[in-house]
Amino acid sequence: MNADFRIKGGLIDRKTPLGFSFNGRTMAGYAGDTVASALLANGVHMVGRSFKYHRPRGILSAGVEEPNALITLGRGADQDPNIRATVAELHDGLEAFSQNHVGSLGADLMAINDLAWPLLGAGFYYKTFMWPAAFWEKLYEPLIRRAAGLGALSGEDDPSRYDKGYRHCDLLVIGSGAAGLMAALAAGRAGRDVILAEQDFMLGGRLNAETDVISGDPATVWAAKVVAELTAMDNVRLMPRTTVYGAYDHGVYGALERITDHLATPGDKPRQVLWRIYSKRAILAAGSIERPIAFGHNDRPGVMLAGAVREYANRYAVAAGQAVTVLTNNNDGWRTAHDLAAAGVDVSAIIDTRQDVALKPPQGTRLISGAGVTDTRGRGRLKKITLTTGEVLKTDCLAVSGGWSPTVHLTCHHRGRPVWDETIAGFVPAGDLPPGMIVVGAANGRMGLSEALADGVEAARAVCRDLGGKVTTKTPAAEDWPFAIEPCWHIPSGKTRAWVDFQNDVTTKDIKQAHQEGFRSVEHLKRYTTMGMATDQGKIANIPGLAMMAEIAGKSMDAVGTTIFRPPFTPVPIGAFAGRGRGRHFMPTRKTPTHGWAEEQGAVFVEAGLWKRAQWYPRPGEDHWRQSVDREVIATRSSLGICDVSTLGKIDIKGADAREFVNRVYSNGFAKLPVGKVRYGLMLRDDGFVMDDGTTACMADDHFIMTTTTANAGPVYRHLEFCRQCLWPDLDVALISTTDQVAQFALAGPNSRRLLEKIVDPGVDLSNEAFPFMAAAEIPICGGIMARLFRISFSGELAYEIAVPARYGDALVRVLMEAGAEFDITPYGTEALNVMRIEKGHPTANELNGQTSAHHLGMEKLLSPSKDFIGRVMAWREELIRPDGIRLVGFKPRDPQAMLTAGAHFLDRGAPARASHDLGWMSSVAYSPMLGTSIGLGFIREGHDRMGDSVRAVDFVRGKDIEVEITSPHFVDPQGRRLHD
Amino acid sequence: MTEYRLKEKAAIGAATAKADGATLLEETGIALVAMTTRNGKSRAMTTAFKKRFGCPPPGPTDAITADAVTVMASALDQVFVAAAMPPASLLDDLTAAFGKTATLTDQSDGWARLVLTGPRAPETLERLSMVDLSPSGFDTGQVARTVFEHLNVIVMRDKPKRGETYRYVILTPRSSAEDLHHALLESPPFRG
Repeated sequence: MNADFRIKGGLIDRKTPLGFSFNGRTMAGYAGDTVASALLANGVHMVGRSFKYHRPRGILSAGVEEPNALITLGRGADQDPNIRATVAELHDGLEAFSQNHVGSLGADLMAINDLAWPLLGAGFYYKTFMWPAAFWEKLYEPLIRRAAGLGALSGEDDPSRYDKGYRHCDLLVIGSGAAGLMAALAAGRAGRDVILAEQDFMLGGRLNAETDVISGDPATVWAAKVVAELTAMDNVRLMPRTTVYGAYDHGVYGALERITDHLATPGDKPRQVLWRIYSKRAILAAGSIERPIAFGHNDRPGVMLAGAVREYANRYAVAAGQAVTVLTNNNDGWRTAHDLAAAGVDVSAIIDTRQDVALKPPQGTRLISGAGVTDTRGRGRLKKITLTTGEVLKTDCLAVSGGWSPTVHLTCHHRGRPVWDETIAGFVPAGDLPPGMIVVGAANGRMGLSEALADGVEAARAVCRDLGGKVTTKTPAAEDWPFAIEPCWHIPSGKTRAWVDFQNDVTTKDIKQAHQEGFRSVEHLKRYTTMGMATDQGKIANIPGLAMMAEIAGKSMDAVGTTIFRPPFTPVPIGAFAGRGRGRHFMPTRKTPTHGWAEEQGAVFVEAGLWKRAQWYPRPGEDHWRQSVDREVIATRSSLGICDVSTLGKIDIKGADAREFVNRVYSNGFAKLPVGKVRYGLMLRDDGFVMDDGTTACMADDHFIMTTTTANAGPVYRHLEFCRQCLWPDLDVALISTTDQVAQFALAGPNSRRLLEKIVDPGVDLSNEAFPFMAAAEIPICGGIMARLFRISFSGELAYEIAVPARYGDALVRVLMEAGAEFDITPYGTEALNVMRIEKGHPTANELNGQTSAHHLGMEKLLSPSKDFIGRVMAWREELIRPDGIRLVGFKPRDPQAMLTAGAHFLDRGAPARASHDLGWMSSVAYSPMLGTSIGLGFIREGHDRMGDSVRAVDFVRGKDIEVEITSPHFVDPQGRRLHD
Repeated sequence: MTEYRLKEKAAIGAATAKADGATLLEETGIALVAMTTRNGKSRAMTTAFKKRFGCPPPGPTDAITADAVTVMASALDQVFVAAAMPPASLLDDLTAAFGKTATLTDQSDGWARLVLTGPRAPETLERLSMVDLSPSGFDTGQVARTVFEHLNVIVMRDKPKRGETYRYVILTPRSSAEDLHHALLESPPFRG
């Protein structure tokens, strides 16, 4: 460690030394350091290369506004680019790397760009890379992106954990400087529920950087005492390392808390937590941000903001140079000179752009008033400056203050427009604040310490007036450093470039050029020059840039205005927005009660909405899914299959008017459905298209159980609630989903009845006469467990669905497997289910796709002429019932070996493959093991009148053109005899 | 008589999770019935309720416990009744008390019941809930129907039992209960 730059004092913990590295060079710092302060303590100023010209860049500021000192932390998957060294908390073993150079930082090959600077001004991309147009995407843009840029991502998955959270409070205080601490203290003592958020790791804000005195104590001591009192209050939550990045509606603020970024070993905690803070009131005490002055070669490492130089000395005990010079247009710059001198640092001169300054420089420091700086020299580090007088001064650190800009960003997040305040030469919040927000202290243009303290108390009082509580806290005594400024935005420096936006390499010349070329609105200026873009969002560049624009255009600052400040205030990692919702937990998973059993069988699962459903159950020796599925179909049709259908939507409909309700939502009649019977129902939307289908059982006159498709369980329930609450509130009906309440299984195949007879309790008669097709009943099974039994079939076989309370689902499937062993019971998944329903011509989501009507599906007989129902009028629209419209039919390839594909379009033989000749589309296909060929369902014009015709099924996506025969959609047991066996 | 018998299985069946300041367990054996007032029977239902429980029905977001039965009003006309008894017994009890004034549906198996206790339970919940469930924002006996990590939940702040600082009952649909359980255990103090 180079001890030359570490001075006495400061708030660092000298008992905790830390080791870190920068570009592989090992260095030392202390707990309480940032990476920037530790680098400066080691004499390192140059930390990166500029965006476009690849010029050497040094540390400019000491806070979030930093445009230059962007570094990459960590390596491999942990690599984190574009971190501001000025806010990165030092920890033991930290590895930092500079960015945006080819070769070493000191000898960047891309620095050749700087020689070509006359060609690379604002808008050069748009003017230069015009021809040939095809080169833009493939050549120019990749080249430009490689040459200009910030840090790089690792390309690997981020191994860090992130989380989100929600906090609620009466009062959110943003910023813990003098005003923020005072507001939190006063409101906390008054009993309000307070959250105090501070982006720094140390509470106290600017007080930690200054040598102020409050109530007779050094300001840092006063701040520590207040923090201790706040910490002890149950009703106050302190959130250091938390940046409030956005003001949203209804008092909601977004905040990013850095939990483990500062730890050498993060442990199991999330790296960052994204908080949504719900506040009744908010006090914005965000302080202000210093800005530089533009002059020739003002981007050289060693040229820094005066307030930052002071902060490095007072807080971090670091002298930013051995011979410091101050350039200022306001009184605050003088504080830097005095504090540094008091700390024993040599301050060569104060250059004040104002003519008559009544302040007294520190002893031994020269005052040069009415002057400025026009150029700097030094390779990689400042060595000399040239004054407007022509004099050349030796200095290794130029501390520049162009005044302070209130941090108004959050006041603008609801489109508030700040107004210009001449007295401080800065934009201050206007009255159009986010509701519930009060702005205090320097953020409100009140630059004095005593003003900030008083503002904090007053704001707390205003909050307590609204929410209750009495503020008794008095404003402590403090002395102000009188703030006075005479704006000086740039110093004429001849042809030497003067930077306005350091991060985007925007110079005064670029702003003049933008104006000359007609980009005169601030928003156009920003887009044309890129001023105010990227990670710092122009926190220090915007105001000087806009002032130059105003000067060139001969307008006032108010007339020029600012660009809109939008969230986030500082960058938020995408990982934090994702939170814990990634990978397997990107979305919730729903599992049926038999999921564990299905896993034991080696089931392959498929996602059906949020559900995981068994798709097929491979057996040893089966190395293709079709083998499993064919086996499951054949086993079911020849003996017995079992399928978990718990995912189907199930809705209990109860009440005196339940029957009337069901009758109105289905297009076919339910008014006379007897108790103990099930009926297939077709549900239409208002527009007459089919919404869903399913079966509904009448368990009692005032109790119906509706089944929906798995995919439509939510939408159908919502639709029913809309009907109940909004259309027919007079009906006595109650709805509730019982999808999760029951485990339900389909038992299909000629032996299904025999299996059921083994598990039902004595007295239950399952004979065809007692329990015929479409019967429903509650029956006892397995020694008194009440189950619901429905004799319904999707497969076309003799089949039942049996439902038990979900707690018995796992046990029931095991019992059925055991009892069914004598019939070679075979579990089947959704694929076999799909094959069997296609073989039977039953429509599902592929056919009920929201664009098909009852007529299209051949179900027009289900549009009851004798009652009203949802969609009744629109279902008879001319287009939906036209005789030459599409109809659902079956398709078989003329070549039995050909494999059909869903999505193929039908064309008449000989017709050109154009949209105008399109006859319809194939909606579902399957290989039928029963027929030994591929079969399909699809919609084709006049399909019902074209049985036996041949057409082409053309699938351009898969390159298929297959001749198919139009058939009945009922491929297996078209008479439905098996259902009634 | 059929020889086959069915064994009950809990929704999650996970072991009780303990961390410094919080405990999470799945509670079984509590019947849950959804109750809705039938059209035009509001007054009769209120009378029946007072007769059965000795107090008026709870308003939305409130719960009452009387006679070892808890009645949670998670929204307007959305009431769940819970009691440590078999579902059929609770249905019989309520059917006898309310007759045709209310619609009753067994939901005992539709919802998993998780109980989160301990002084740091609010820390767990603030990572999951947009609703303020902190002790200062959510009183004992309050109910909220909301979402945790996209999952439907009904949360009730229950009276703590001996030795407990805070006690929250969380009902969540059975099919996704594993994910909710995981979400709770991903939160402090169980993890991070």
